Amino acid sequence: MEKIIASIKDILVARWPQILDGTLGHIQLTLIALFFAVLIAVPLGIFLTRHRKFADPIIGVTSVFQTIPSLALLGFMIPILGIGKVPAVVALTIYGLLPILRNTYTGIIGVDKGVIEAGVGMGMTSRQILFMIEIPMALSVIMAGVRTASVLIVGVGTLASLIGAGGLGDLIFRGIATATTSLILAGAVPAAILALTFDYVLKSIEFKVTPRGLKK
Amino acid sequence: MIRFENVSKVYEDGFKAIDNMNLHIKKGELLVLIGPSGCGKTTTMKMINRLIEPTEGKIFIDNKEISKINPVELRRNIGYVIQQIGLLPHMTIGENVALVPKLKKWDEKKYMKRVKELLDLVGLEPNIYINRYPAELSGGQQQRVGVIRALAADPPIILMDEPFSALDPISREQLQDELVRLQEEINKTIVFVTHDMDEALKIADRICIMKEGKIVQLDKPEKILQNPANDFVKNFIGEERLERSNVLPSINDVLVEPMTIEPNQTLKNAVGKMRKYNMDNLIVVDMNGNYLGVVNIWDIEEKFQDNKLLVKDVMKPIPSVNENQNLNEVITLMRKENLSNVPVIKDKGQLKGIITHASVVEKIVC
Repeated sequence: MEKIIASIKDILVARWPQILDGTLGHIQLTLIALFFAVLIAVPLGIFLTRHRKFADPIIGVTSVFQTIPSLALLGFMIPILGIGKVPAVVALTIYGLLPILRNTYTGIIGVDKGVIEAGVGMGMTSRQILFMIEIPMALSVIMAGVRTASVLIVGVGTLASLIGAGGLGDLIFRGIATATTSLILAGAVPAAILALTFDYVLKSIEFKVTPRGLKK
Repeated sequence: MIRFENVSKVYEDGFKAIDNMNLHIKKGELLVLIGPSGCGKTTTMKMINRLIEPTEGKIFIDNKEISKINPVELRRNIGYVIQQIGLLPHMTIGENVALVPKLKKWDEKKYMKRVKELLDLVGLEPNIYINRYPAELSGGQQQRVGVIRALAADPPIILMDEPFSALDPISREQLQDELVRLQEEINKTIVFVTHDMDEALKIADRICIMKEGKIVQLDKPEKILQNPANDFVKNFIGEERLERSNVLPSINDVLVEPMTIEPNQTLKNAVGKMRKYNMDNLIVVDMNGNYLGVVNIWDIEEKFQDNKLLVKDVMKPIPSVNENQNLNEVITLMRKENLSNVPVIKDKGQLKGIITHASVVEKIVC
């Protein structure tokens, strides 16, 4: 045990620039993928609440994406987009779609019908109903979806190093290849901390954006 | 104010909710739409603010056909209160009440003043409640806010869709009382949907009873109670309420023929007459039939030995009533004075008949 701790210390000192690089690369990858996932999934989810007959097939398709093993999904990207950051971001974005899409859809569908009826009856336009009622009231559910997606993306992001996207996966796979436990840990531990941090930060944002009247 | 002309509504599944309806809702009245579920009362109401569009016919507000008015514009000028209350939970009470004025782009100073006025109107202290959230209020308080939110932009018409039926009985009573009081002050045209007959009788200026998309009866509450149009209405109102509201029979219905005697008759004759008819008293009238008093068997018995006495010497005056008084007053009098019977006299003092305990009981019970 002491040996391992000692070697981790060595690795930390020796590999510090690489760990920092990997972490920053990982954060970048995650944020970009998350950004696109939100950009696609939230409007799509809102669209589906307006055209509910499409909801099941489209959410079904994103579920299928989710069931594709992450390694395979990354592999699919190579013949289409080659290797590097771009195919990795695309794959991670696809991976993050489902939780956000599903939560946006169910969150908005789940808004109290009475409140919406009151809104319509008072003469709100459908845009006002969306921005003044539906989104504020569904926001905590949507944010929960974003959180789930972020944790997923951080995790799957470690595999993105296999298609040359960098990130903490680099350290892990180098460690596996050279059978160096400490090197594996030098990639895995920051990745785990990163996932927890994303979750924590997004949770605080979620709490901040939840209107006081809706806090339990 | 609001006029339905040959309006029908057929839903996509073929269900005919409203069948060729004509209805005129007057300015300033509180009209209650009532009927069993599926009778079309809510559909009728929701057609007024175009939440539901009629399949046929036209609806006018102030002689303007509403299908030609932009629905958003139309709704901002019609207050709307619903059973689920529907306050926006992420907004404060003040923001909720100010919603329609804000949508109508009122000046902030103007609507804040209005919000405070309205909170005062329903007994919610503005300083305490204006910054609270709906979840911090009781159901009754929330619906009070629901009602004043509908009043906020001062619309001439207010639609209320079973607004009090989800509340507990005590809050419901209070809110009904408040609505009646409020209506005296604000005098809006209110269309109120309910399935609760007691509520309708309590608050309505007119009640519109509906069945299968048609109006069965439309009249003032007391008129409906007195003359239910048919068995459906009778059943819908319920036997109990009809009986409770039953006006007492008139005095003439409970009159019985009196046993009379003239004042100059001997006591012996009086006793003879009482025996013959099995009575313990006789009404004393003069030759012209004018009421003088009552002679009672016990009074005669006391003085029977004295041969010289006549009926007029032992008779006593007892309170009498005029034929035009109502039975309620008579019953009150009988109770208060502990009388077993009361003579009823005509305007000129002639005896018309008497009312006895027995005659009253017989009429009221059957």
